[in-house]
Amino acid sequence: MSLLAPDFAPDRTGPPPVRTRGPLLLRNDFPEAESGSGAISFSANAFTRIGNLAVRQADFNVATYNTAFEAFCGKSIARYFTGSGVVPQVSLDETMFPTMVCGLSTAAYMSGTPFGGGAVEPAGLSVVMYNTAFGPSCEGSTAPYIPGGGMVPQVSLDETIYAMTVCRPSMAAYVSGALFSGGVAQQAGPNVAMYDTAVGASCGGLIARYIPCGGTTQHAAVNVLTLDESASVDPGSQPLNLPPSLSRCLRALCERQTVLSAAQAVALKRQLQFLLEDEEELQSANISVSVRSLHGLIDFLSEHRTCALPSLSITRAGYFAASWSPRKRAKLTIVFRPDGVADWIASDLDATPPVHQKDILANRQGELAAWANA
Amino acid sequence: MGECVKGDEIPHTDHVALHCQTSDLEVGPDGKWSGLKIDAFRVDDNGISVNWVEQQPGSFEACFDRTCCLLARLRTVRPKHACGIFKVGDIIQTAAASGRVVGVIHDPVEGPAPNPAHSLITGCAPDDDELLSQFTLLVDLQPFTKAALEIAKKREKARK
Repeated sequence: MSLLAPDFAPDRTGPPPVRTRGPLLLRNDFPEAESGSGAISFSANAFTRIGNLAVRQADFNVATYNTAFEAFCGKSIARYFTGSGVVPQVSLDETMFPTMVCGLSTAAYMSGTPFGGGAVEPAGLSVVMYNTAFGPSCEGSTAPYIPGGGMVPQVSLDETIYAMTVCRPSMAAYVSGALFSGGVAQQAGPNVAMYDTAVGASCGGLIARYIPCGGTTQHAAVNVLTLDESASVDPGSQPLNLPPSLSRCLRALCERQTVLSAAQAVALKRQLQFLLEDEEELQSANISVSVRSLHGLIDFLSEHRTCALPSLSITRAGYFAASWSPRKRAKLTIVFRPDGVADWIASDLDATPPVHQKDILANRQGELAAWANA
Repeated sequence: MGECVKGDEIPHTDHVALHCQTSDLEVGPDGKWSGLKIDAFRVDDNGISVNWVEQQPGSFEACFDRTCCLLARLRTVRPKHACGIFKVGDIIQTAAASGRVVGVIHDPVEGPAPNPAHSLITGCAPDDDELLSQFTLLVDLQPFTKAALEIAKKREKARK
């Protein structure tokens, strides 16, 4: 279940994209201007200004988008690009700003001119690429790559963007109608760029947008509800916002799903969606979901990949609980406390006498297989 | 059947129903409910509130449908919620096997939101994890009936 690094189209002309772990958080609106970002602070005005600049440079076929990271990802990010036009007038400009969390450098490319912080690779006609180097807090670097090229109107503008670890989930890119992981590409003819992202709660929910590049600017929302399934493209619709608890937990899952088997990750995602979709109900039950507990569950699953997939519930305290029922009237439940301790509660009504065990997992590791492998 | 008054024991062959919200349920790897968690039982000083399914005469299906509709009128019921069915005799027997004495008694509620089928499982303590976890193994989870979901939908619409 790869969320990242879609396979680029055969016309790749630059270095392969670097796998990183985060998406951009994309927002319809720019965030408030931000102090101390060290780069450019953003506002609606900034967007307009950049947008105007793009228009001037490219004359037509301008697509813009802007993104805003929220607290978890740091701060703001904005990019814009223009694309298409008659070669060699095509320019594709972009400015990208890393977040506070990721801190470090960014590079932008504009019409073949290197920008600070990263290399620009000349790629012939109508090729745009940029790369960024994220800082340690982002666990290394990322190099989004945007191949383009070809004869107008065949120029395509493709992009894959990986943001920071902290935001991790997915992003899909579109290359001239090709499908990419993390979302489905909209068949939109040449000069279309699309991206979608799936972000966690701290990043403000799951948001996806569609960016046409070339021709009349059109905006559509691409909502990606689940990270490994096709995105739905519904022009004119609004980006989807996930309930905060679900969003937070999906993000946590995405951050660490590589430690799980594909089946575990898919099942856990389904279970999270079932359990956390109704935020109102969680609130009325006074349940505040513990992400630390979820991490405990993920740790457990990663260490027990051969166990039968458990059922999942959330306790009143907001802790995740995995359970297995090897027989109809028998059940083991393991509750993952945020302090790292896991409680063991086992009942078997058909044993003589009926079994009821209450302990901690650490004391019962040897018995786990009998319950969870059945 | 149906003639009980407040405090009467419910026949062991009858059933009681528990409205199970999403947060009361365990969900399986397939994304569907698979069981009940301990917290689903809300134990107060009187006991655990449930609804007597066969409080009025009729087939089990008719009684179940009536129970679902009643719950939908009284509570916020959603399509993902479940109606947990317990056989009264199983409750009594399971408790007895663990040396507990519990009762399942009719406790009709009057007033602005009457619930003539309301009943109580008595003899449980809120922290009696052993007994409550055993009770979770007795449940038969059923989806709410279409009629109940229609009522719930209208109720939700009116609420908004």
